[in-house]
Amino acid sequence: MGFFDLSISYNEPPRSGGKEVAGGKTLRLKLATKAMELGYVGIAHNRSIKGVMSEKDSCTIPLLTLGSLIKVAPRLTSSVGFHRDLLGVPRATPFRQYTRLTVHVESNAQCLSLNSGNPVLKSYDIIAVRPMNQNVFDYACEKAEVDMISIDFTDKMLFRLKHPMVQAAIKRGIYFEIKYSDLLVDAQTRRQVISNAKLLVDWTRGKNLIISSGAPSVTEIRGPNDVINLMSLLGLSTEKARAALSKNCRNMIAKLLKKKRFHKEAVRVELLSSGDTFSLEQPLSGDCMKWDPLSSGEGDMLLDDLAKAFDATNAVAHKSSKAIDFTSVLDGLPKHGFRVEDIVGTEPLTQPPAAKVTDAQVNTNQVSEVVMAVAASSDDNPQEIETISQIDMHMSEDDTKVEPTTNVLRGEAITLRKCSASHGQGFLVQNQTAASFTLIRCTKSDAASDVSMNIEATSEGGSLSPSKSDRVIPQSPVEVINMGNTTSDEVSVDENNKERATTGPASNDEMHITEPGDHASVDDVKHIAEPEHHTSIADEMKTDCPSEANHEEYMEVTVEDQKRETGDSNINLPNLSSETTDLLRESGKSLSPEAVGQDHDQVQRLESKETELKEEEASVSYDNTFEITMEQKKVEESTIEDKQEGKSETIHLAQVQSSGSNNDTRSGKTQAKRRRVRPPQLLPFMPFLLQSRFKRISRKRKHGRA
Amino acid sequence: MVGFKNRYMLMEVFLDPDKDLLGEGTPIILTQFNLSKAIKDSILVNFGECGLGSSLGSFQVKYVNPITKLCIVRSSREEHRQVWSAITLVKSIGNCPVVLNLLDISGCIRACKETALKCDKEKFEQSSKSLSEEEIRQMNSCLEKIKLLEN
Repeated sequence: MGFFDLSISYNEPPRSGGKEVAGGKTLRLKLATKAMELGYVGIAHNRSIKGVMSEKDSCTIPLLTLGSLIKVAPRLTSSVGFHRDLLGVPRATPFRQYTRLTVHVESNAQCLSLNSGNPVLKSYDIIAVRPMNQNVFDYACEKAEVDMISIDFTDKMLFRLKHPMVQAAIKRGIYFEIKYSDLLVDAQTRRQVISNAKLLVDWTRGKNLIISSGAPSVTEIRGPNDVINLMSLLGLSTEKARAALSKNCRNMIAKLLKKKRFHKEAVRVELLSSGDTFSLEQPLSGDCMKWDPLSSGEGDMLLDDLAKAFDATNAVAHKSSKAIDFTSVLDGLPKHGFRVEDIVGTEPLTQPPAAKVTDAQVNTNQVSEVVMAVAASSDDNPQEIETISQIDMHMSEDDTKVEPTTNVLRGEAITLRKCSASHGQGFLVQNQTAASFTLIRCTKSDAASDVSMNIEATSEGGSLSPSKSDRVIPQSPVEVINMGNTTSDEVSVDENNKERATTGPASNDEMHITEPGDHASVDDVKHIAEPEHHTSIADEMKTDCPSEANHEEYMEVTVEDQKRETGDSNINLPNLSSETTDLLRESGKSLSPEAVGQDHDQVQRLESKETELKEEEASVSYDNTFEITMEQKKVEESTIEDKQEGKSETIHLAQVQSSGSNNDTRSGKTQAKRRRVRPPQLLPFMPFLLQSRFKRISRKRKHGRA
Repeated sequence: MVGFKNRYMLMEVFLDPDKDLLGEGTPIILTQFNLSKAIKDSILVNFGECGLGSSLGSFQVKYVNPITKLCIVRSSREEHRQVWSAITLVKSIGNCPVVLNLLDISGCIRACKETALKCDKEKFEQSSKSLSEEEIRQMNSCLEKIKLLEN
């Protein structure tokens, strides 16, 4: 992580003369060059003002350019590279410049000017306050809209650092600054600084502390490692000092830039000239992903550019490069400006996947194309492409096996997977843009959160799977069936709600994507590849269930662990982890019956289609509610998801009911599991056991004495 | 196991950084003697007689390269942070303002030697364009010296 020096002094030119004093300019240049050479990646030009603030005090600091740096130090590039390598900072890190205002505040009236609406303060990146008495310090800690409190430690303290005030400031996210150049002045000052600053270090315990140079000349600048070690004189540990020099600065800058340049800290506001155009077909999202939270927009210098500028031998290349090259992105766009239709038309990811799903159903031949389109739309995630390719593989297998009569089934498989693709992206996006940068991103994450809600909803259906109910709720097989019925009722009600139905399986498969183990997908393949010569469904179920139960047990453990490790801020983790496992289990189950259904269809394909439907009805007829759903299904061909769910569940039920012997074996298993589960449940009773044992021991002792 | 442990600090000296930023001119010639004197003075000022006394046992400037302005300072492990702080607080050698910057710190001379050789070469390449024959000869002798360093 790069190191920052957020205090390079800048002397305001005298009011009469417009230009910065030549000496001041060269000093600033030298300081900046030295800081850059020593391996710092960011500086802030600090301007201090005293007395009443006026319009004239708004930011006029000219940021340094590459050319001027090169002029001062011709061999800067190699030296910077050398030092960065030794510090472990990547050479490509841009050198950033910020502007900073330090206000010396003495009176309460001046305090009141430190509010968020002050246009003078808005023109600077960083606002620091130097309190000169107790009242001002308290106000700065508790109320003032500042980023940093810079205290003068060189003299006798003008106020007392009170612990509650410091804590209040830390709570509000205000940083305290210590300038190490004070330590270098002379012995007397050093003594004073150490004694004063130690108190601050003690109160803050290294939290919200920033160390900067504040150097009046080049000889007072030190390298990052030296500064970190020097802070041991103030009682700051190496890690804390390192954080104070790098991480804390970075966090503060990111925070204040977000506050400054984002609307409500979430939406980036950018000025676009009328000539520039804006379309979502072009990779705006890529641009957003490249958005640099630390860039102040200008004054960033890349080492490569520095080298180039030097190679140009003229050594006068007045060009300040930006961290993000917006112009190059915007150049290649069409000329028709920003239109709302663009967003609506080319927003494949925010829309619910239902629309695509219907397409897929109508012409299954074009499915691969659609999938390809999905792949194209999700270029930015290699992982996702992987999953999609996997999906393609699955599909091709489907194609080889399934006859044209089973169009619907294929459609189902496709929808399921497509949903997984699109929603998978939703989730990934949510992970990546935790600080949701643009409007689009916001909506996406909203969608994702919807999905998570739906997951919760569908997880109720997840209790359908017998293995789970076996494990968690030890019940008799009959009860299991009952529960299945009730939950299936719920699902049938839910199926009216299309979105839920879609997101349900989608989220199932999304879990496939996130968990690397991918047991479930392996199961899929297995089931699909299963040969036709199963005579009955029940047989297959018998063969499948035990093995799968084992699988899922194993899976549950691993996935839970992984989920806990990959901390996702937006989702309630512990709940989700359990839910995901449920869903995974369900997905494993729901997919396998589907495959069975395919085989089944193939078996039946010699007969007419109607008989097939009848067959389905027959399988359904175990449950009244499912008859309704099946009818619904027949009527509405468009909602495939309904069907898919319905079918999977019906077959599921069929499985539960038809294989009685299977239930027996499973109940045997349940007992075994119950045995396994018991010890932790008994733990609360351990004190009693201990008591009894204690009694026994005491009795023994009595015996011994006797 | 060795009971007594040392730390070897590879430092880089910027002579008169205010004048020219990359140490091109040489207002004074850097030697082991004047460098160690400056550091000892700094220890005395900052940590007193006791601090100086406890660190003097193992303190030594092992190597100085006047061309690339690299030096290796040895100190005992217990005191090395103190010595390092004192080195950081050095402001001048004689009348010449200096800035000392740590490049590498290691626990054995061998590792330090390797890094020093690497840094020496890199810095030499940076400034090799403007060097005379005499200086190049001196540089080579320094490189020979660094290879012979022990403890």
